[in-house]
Amino acid sequence: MSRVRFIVVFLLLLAIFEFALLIDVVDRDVVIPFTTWIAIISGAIIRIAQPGLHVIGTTISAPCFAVDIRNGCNGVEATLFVVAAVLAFPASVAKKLIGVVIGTGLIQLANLVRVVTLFLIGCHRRSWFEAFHLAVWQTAIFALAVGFFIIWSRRSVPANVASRA
Amino acid sequence: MLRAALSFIAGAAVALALWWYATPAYNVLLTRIVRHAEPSGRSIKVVYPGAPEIQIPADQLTYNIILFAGLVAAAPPRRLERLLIAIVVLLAFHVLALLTSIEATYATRAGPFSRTNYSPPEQDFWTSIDFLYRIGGLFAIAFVCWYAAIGARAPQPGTSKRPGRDGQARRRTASSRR
Repeated sequence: MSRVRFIVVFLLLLAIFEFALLIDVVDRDVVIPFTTWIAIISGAIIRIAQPGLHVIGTTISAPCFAVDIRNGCNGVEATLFVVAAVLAFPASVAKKLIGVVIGTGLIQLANLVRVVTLFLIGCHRRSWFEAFHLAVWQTAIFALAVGFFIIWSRRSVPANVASRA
Repeated sequence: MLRAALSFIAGAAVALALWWYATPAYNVLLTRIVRHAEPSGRSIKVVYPGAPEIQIPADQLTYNIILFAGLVAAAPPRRLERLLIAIVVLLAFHVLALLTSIEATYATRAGPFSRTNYSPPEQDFWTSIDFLYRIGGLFAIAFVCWYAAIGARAPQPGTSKRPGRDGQARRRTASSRR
């Protein structure tokens, strides 16, 4: 029964969080500034291997390639996935807080690697870009989100509930 | 944990190859379910009478099978019927996603046809549903299908940190002494 409850709460929270991304104010004042920072940090890393690179807003451009980071590529959706799963799981507030903070950090770190590698793939192996952009990295990021949640949840089962089993 | 990670990668790699090469064949199957749809390589062409022809990049709606296959390879469900049900639910969502994507495309990207046949709230509705599925919903569905299929193996209160055999034996001994 608790598994069903988890699934229902998880899907509900995820729908609410993702729906928030559709609101103009959230997009303009939260998502786009956040994505701009991702572009700035990724651009700084890529510049090491790719001189002559420019970052304007959420767009990273170099003579060889350019990308515009949007929803789906900024790691926000996978972060919301982790946050919804952690909040839906019955654990203490402290453990949930730890899960949200570490999960968010992990996903965003992985997303930086995604943006950097995708840009370099776009520069040097353009024909691989679509497959890596859509299927490989998107799946990898969500696999990381699921993997993190599974590990965190196994360590976060409430002691009082566990002792009743 | 390393073994599970390697199993995940192997399962996901097989599913990636399957998704890449079998998408045109899978699109044929989808077009047999959805009316007025015709396969067109990795896309699906839709021709409703009196409406403009549209192309749906259907491969972008179905690649959650990669995550699902990876998870199943890493932690397979113990009961085959649960796995089959999970696969059927996953595939059913592909059909729903295609229908939603068709509506969203007609509602917002079909020029005058969109403005004539869809009110602004209808356009917002279909775009929102399509967005929610594409942005993360498809992975949430793959995760939930797997999570529900693995049953008691999923981390949940009262099952993940069960006392070990030693603990159970100790309790049994204590209660028999009483």
